[in-house]
Amino acid sequence: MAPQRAALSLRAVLGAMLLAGVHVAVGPFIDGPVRPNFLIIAVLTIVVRVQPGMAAVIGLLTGAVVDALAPSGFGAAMLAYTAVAYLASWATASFVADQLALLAGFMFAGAWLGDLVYLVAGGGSYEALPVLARLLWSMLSAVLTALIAVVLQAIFQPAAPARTR
Amino acid sequence: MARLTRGGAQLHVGLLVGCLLVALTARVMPQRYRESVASALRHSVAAPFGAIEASAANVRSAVDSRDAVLHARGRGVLDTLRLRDVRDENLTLRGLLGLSARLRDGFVVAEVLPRLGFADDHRLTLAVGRDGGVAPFAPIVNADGLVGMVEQVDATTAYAITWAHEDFRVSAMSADGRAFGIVQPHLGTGGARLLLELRGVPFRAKLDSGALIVSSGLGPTYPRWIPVGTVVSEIVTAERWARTYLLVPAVLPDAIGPVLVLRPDRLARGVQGVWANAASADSAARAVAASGDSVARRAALDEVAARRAALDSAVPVGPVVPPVAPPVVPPTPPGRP
Repeated sequence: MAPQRAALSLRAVLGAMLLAGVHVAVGPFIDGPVRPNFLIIAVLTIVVRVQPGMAAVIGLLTGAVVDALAPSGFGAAMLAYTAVAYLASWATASFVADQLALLAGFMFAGAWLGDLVYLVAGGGSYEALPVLARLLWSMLSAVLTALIAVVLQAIFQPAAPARTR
Repeated sequence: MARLTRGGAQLHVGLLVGCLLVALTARVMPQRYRESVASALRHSVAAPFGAIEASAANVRSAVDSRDAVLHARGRGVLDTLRLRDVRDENLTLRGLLGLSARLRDGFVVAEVLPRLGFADDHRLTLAVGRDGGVAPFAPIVNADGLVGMVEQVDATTAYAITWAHEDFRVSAMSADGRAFGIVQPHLGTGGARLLLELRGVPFRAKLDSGALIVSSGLGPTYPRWIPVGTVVSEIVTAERWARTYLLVPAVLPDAIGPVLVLRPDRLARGVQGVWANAASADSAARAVAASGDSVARRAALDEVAARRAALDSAVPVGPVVPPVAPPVVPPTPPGRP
């Protein structure tokens, strides 16, 4: 089982990197306030396979990259991704997210929580909008992210985030 | 999933706290340090992502600029079309101003109202009526010539038929006064429906293509000298004793803009010379052609004379002895002194 598990982990890592690339490539083409967060899908895909401490480090590094590309709220993404990655890894210690509905809820919660932390920490999204509008758009973005994660899960079943620890 | 041991949990919490401290430090550090760290990350770890993002942004801007070019091109075409409309309208209004100046008085300027749902019944609705001095059967003209005739009049609106209406008739003649007839719409199909016919022209009066046809003034409705159309060709009909000509209307359907309605007092005074340009241009063209003919005839005569002179000069030099008969000398009788 070890080689198969390693292959799955490798595919997950490659998929996560591909998602990170898609995230930065698609970003300039999205004008509206509802933006799917491919990067959070990538992070959650990885961190469910590692211990919470390592997940926090992965989240920190991912947030650092995000902050480097959008330095207006430098540090906010680090906080958000660190928190979400740790909580996701800690939460998946309690259940297995191999059902689509569960995966959708997991992705939705991760995306929305990350966005909220990012907003609270002073990230740059939706600065010009009122708080309620920010929450609404953030929630819709999280829903879209969850839908995309479910579609990807359905397409790439073997590489789906599955609890293997 | 195995439960985390107490030591492992402490390690993970410690890592989390450390990461959060790093993140908080990054969040609150002075601006110049933030920029330094961000720049260092952009040139190292985040460099591939930055490159991808830059490429995507370039593609997006290219798409946007292409859209902008297409929009600008479409706007240019639209402006060109509008400009053409404005130019045509300008020409129409200028022509109408010139016509008004030549008529001086006795007319009513009328705007043609757009008709709803009956675009092809060859009728017009004018924005003036009885209150403006419009009377039934008044001729409607513009700078190009005859447009039609008022049929019904309300207080503020008048309803008219154009020359294309099947009931339209006008007594007409050629601009040189050689041929008379009745102009009526050509009831053909397609584009030919928008032509006119000059019927009942005496057989001896043959008209050339391009001859101007004006109203003849016979009858109470249309005064003389309003341009009606231009001869295109003769058409064959069952009437063998008269000629029928196909005319291009003087006023094209899409050129009917603002019009003038002639009032009865103006009809009584006539409109001779108002459309003098067209009529005189036609007469001038014929005069030029006729003078051209006379010049050609004169040139031919000159050439004949020159040839004759050349033949005369070809005869050999010397005394010309006419072939005359020798003189008859009567014989002298012998023995006479």
